[in-house]
Amino acid sequence: METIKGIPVSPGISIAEVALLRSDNLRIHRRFVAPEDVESEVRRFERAARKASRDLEVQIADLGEEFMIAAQVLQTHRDMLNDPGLHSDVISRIRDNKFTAAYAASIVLGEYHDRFEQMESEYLSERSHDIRDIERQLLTRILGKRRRPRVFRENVTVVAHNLTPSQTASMAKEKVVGFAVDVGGRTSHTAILARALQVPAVVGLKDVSRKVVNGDTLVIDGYTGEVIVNPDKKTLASYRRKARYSEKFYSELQEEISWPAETIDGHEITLSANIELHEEVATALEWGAKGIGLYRTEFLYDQGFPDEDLHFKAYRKAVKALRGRELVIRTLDAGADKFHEEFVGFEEPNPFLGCRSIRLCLQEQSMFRSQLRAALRVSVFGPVKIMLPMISTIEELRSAKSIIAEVREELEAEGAEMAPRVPVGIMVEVPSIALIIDRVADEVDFFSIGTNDLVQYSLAVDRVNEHVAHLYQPSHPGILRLIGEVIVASNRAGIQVSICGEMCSEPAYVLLLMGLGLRHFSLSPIAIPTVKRIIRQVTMKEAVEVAEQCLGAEQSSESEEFLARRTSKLLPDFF
Amino acid sequence: MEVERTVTVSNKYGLHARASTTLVKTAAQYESDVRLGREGGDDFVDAKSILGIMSMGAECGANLCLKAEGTDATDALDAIIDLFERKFDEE
Repeated sequence: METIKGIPVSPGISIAEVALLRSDNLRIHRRFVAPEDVESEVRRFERAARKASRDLEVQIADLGEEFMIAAQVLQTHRDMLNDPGLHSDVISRIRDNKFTAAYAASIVLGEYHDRFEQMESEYLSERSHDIRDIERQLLTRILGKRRRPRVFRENVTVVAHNLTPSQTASMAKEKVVGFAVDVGGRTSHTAILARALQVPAVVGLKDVSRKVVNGDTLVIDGYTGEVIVNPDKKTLASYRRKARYSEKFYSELQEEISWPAETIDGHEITLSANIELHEEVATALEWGAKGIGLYRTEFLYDQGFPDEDLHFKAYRKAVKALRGRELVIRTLDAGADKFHEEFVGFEEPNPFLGCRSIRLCLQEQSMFRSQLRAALRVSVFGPVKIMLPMISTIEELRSAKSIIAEVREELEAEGAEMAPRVPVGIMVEVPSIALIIDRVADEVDFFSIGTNDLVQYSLAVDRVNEHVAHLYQPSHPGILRLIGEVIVASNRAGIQVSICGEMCSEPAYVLLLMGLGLRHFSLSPIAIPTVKRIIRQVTMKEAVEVAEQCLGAEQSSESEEFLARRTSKLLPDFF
Repeated sequence: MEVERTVTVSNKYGLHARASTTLVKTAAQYESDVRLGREGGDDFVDAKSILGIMSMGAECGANLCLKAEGTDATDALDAIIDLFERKFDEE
């Protein structure tokens, strides 16, 4: 079993066999034609373009009115193939350079592809895939090959590196129950078509097409973006359950999305979302998020250390998509173990207690500065906050803040525009900092409790180690006392405190955390409507009673039973 | 005859695939050579080329300059400007 995370672009759960679609790579070499053959090569190109255009006509007619969206994609391709500018460009390459029709066409379309790919608008840069697609259709015809459309068995999940728009369109009439694709974004054809067909789809999975073979079982969770390859029995059963109730449950929840997250007695709770990719902003807003409380930036470090521009472009997209709502950018929160040795220059024997997050950033300052420069620069487009992870001492916080101040001065000297103030906060996830929170409060603008690591570090438990996982207990009275004290101290100091760990996505803990004084939750987008439904059914008095009961418990199991009972009354469908 | 006019892109999505298709279809009905580019810029594209138009990346709010040359130049520009003003019938 393996779980891969991507961008959810069409909601729903599907469990089905994999049909793997491989892309046929046409390699075109630089070849020349003899001067006397130039005109026949020109005619060869024109004939191929006509045939390719006719192939599309047939497909368009076949799709008919019923599959309009798919047909429109193909109509645009046909218009592109008939573009007089394209024809004259290719023909002049054949005549002037004596290139073969195939090479001339791949050069000219390659240039268009690159021009589109570099465009700022996500929509237009996605269109580079359309260019690749018509290039293939044209080359297939020039080389005298003919592509046979693949026929699928019923109820399969299509997995591919990159579904070309025409492949996607031709699947409109097939019995495909889900899509999982390595590349792509929210405006890709796969995304648009999957939404139109109302089947779940996850894109941006990076290498799912290399991790599966035909016949594997694949779960697609179009709510969270998780794709599970060959799930074990337990996982499969839980997704079967989720698939059954999700449709009804989420369609009901949809109606509640615009309702405020307010208790019966009028206490409002702010629900923000945690995201990993800027593309997820749209999903988060669809589920009712008030802003982004945690933007994990680790994805940008997939190919080593990213430059400022890569950070900047991703952040700007996120800020713009939020249209005035808040974005909390968390600086790199990964360990040296994540990077190849050539970047950090040493091996990491004990990653969780080693050189990670802020520790790595303070050592690799030029990398840290690129990220900070980008974060400060995007503040001109909308409200942005910077969040520093894994702070364990006040000195670390001060060092990081002085670097931020230096970077700001540097940018000011360059004449860069920025918001006059960009708040800086920290993640509270190392017990040492939680215990001196009242002293740290004077030096930060906000706190966010990272419960995943706080629980792990406090209880000395690796939660993915199956032999000790049972000791990972977020409701351990010691943990509750620690979280409670952080919340109370922050509220007393007048500093905003939120929780961004998985604990606050978990329905059972909602009442408890509210009772401990928490007013800001940052959670996975899909969990927002569920958590809101709980909030709207209770009073703050009840929440405080629940918290007191759990704080007084001797062990976590007592609290867990009690919380499950309370929550099942509030969310009968969920349990 | 040579005519030149300016126009602002005011449909929500700018010159994306569908709007570009409509623009090409309209321009192709006229004999004149029609070109468009950003106002104040030097790069002009053929209004009968969908790839050319889309690769301009003209978003909502962009100011464009239209040039037409030929016997029906005025009619061609009238028809095209009408499209922009009708927001390509999108809204």
